[in-house]
Amino acid sequence: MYNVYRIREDFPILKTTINGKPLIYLDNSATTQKPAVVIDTICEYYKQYNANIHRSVHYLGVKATEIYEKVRGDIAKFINAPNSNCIVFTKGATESINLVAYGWGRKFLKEGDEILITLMEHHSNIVPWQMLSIEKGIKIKFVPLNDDGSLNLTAFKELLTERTKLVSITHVSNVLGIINPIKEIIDTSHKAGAIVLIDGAQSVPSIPIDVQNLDADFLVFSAHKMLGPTGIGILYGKEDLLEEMDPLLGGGDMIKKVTKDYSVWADIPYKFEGGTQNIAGVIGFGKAIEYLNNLGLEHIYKHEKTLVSYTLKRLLNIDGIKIYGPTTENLRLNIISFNYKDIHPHDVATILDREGIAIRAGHQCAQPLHSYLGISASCRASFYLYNTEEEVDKFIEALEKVNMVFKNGNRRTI
Amino acid sequence: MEIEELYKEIILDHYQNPRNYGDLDLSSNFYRGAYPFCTAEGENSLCGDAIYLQFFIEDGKLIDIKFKGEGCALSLASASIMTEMVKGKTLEEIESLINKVKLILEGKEESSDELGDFQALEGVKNLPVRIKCVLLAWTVLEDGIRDYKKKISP
Repeated sequence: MYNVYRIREDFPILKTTINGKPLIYLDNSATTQKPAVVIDTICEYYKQYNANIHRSVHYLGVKATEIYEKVRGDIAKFINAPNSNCIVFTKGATESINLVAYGWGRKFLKEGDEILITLMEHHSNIVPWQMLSIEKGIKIKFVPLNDDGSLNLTAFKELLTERTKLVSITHVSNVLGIINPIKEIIDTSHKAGAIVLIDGAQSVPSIPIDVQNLDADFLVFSAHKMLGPTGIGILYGKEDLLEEMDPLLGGGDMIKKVTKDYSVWADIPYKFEGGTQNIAGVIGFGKAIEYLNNLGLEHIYKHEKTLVSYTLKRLLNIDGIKIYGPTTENLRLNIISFNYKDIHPHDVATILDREGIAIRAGHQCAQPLHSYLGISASCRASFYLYNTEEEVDKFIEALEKVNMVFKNGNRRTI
Repeated sequence: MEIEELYKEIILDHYQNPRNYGDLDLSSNFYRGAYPFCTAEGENSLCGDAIYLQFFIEDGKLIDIKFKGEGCALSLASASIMTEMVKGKTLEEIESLINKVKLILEGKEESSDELGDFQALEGVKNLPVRIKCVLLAWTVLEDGIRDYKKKISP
């Protein structure tokens, strides 16, 4: 039985007050809060067995290495990767995408090749490809959206040609909350001869993912959006792809052998992990995965769906709320972006903040999507496993306060 | 700080009824080619606030100014207030006003009556994350004046 009140007890920060009001944290797509077990696990590492990994024969070094590598295995299981060699630790989903851009793209892409991304990508799945295109003369194409914000699959199929070498697409839009049909996209792309990178930063925290069933070539995600610490991300890659990729960082721990003239790289995944890693981060992430497994992702998913559906219903009853993306919950995960009358999102967010409510306001690292929507900024409320309907009620009440501060007034249009 | 102290009546008024909003009338006889026409723009990359200024300078004085832009109430009210304050002032006076505004927002100086409506924005210094919004129009004008000076004495 999913008891959200019981779960909330595990998160120390949820007991804090902001401006004298209990914190209502609705910025989970930016980063989630951490349960005490994750925080304690990180402290424990530093207090009890801090040592560098893969190098030392002493007790602490061996213990740290064992736990670090166990987490790799736990993460492989979490996304049903065939084995833990397919799991590379990075500092976040952004670095994971950059690793593919430079480790794979720089090596294999040629002038005239095309990369297909979508209009709803986060900047982290746009900019690395733009940087690579300057270097390699490759072309980036954007899959357009339908009126409800969903992906235009007809256009996708038309844009997919023999020149398309990579399709890099988000599983869930960090603005619209839309869940893309990635299984269909992967199948179609493979038939056209392209490999597929899935940006799972928003989906892996809430949707059970099976990379083998999906046949995904790459999957990237970040620990901090799923109860883990910041500074840890994952690149999952098929073994043969990782094998042929170049490392990004040369240095210690990523080599088998170094001579004055040449070096031999270590096997995967170690060749991608040059330099001392974020050991505490990995170990903390391991605890977060354990916590999520204990709750069960399918229960978390259901909880979020219920909250989103409730929030949509309440928001749609407010005069002057414009919601971006579909207004039915079936296409949507835990994210709702909106604007309120013509009040700027930053003003909305500042007034909500005085009520202890944290939402995101701005372009949400998705400027191309915002310009497509014809806006420069939006408000975003995003939920996670510890949010409640009572919090949604307070959020709705606070929006009324926003309206009061602005005295029901709209800007004079000029 | 109560939220109403930030979003004071006067701020909302400037936001909802911005002064000197739009484009300068370049076709009027008064302006026709007579004075250097300056523009300046800037944005706050974090939030997407954008301010676009047009102004005329004659004999070291800013004789007319208009702004356009999009952004939050604080940034647009600040721009509206600024245009009212700088119109008719010499470039030196404007530069010292811009410095004063910066010092006030950094909490290093108190505001005074000479700052007129801008005093209503002083409360934002207690909200560091929004200082940039209020400063935007002022830094855009600062850049515009710098460009103008470069143009006339390269």
